[in-house]
Amino acid sequence: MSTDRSADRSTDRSTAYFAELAAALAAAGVPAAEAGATVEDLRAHLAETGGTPEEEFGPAAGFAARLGGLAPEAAGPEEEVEHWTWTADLFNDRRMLAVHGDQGWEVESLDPLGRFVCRRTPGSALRWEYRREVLTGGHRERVLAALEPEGWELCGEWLVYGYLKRPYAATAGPGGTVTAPPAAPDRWLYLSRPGKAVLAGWAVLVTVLLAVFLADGIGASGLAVTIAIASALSAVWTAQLETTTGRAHRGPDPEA
Amino acid sequence: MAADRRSSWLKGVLDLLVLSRLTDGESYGYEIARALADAGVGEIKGGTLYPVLNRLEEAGLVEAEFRAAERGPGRRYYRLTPGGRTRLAEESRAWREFHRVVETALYPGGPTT
Repeated sequence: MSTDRSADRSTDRSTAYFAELAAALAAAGVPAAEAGATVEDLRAHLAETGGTPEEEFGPAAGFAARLGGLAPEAAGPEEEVEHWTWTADLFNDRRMLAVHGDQGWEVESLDPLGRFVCRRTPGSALRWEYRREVLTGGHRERVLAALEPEGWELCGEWLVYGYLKRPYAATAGPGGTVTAPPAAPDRWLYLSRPGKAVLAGWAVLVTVLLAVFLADGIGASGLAVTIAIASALSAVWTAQLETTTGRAHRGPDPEA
Repeated sequence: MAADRRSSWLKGVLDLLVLSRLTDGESYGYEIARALADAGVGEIKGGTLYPVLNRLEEAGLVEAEFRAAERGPGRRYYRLTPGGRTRLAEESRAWREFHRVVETALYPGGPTT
């Protein structure tokens, strides 16, 4: 009897999953006949694998987006794709990623200077959400294993931080697209107040060191080593400051 | 870590592998996944496979036809188009060349085993 109830629950879950998938495809404008054939095909697949739909296909909304129903049309000619590269300090990066992701900017990677290399296809841009996680040591596999099934994809790494992206369409359906994207910003640098203070402190220190160097107080190798140490310390200080002050703004811990 | 590595490598070659499972005739999603597993590629979940099949169909590299079944749900059958066959041959040659370059870089003195 308990086996029967378990089978019923499994069938109910499967039915609800495919209903959600069909609704997501329909909402994306996929013709009913095509959406129906897709769902039936996937049901046949699941009948043979014997698993649950979530295990086999992932969350329904995200799967519908990956199937092409909610994803943007195939990118047009290259000249129609906008490219924009920008950066922000650790105090500002998540806020600015949220702002620009909402305007359809997709981070493709982080370049060697730590800048966000973005693209956007006007007319078919998705809205993107981002999160930043510490990916050092044993954190890495645990964090990615927890987030990837939810549709998050690692899009770049800088120092100990990993940046992950996910289209809003994965959770918001057709509302996850940008209808009237604003023009690409002219700016490329977004510094917060604490970021500016750290940068100013670093600049003053380097200027003093250069002055001492020019006055023959230290040699070239001493100058290089001292600047490197000062830069490393300022980076650590920045990360420490940000971790302390920004903890309250972090999203839920994926390992929790 | 091994799963991460496999996943990362597969990203660049999965389309090609799926096309290769259709050279002997039409097939459907589950059968393609099984054929890839039997070939040693590992388990390809439906959540990964079907977006690839859709992409290949949109690119005109495969054609799909849905057929209702007498019992149970129907299936979508895929077959290579002439363009798909050409692309498979071209990409296979490119992959073999890339593999040769990587192997030469990794083993400058020749394979160690």
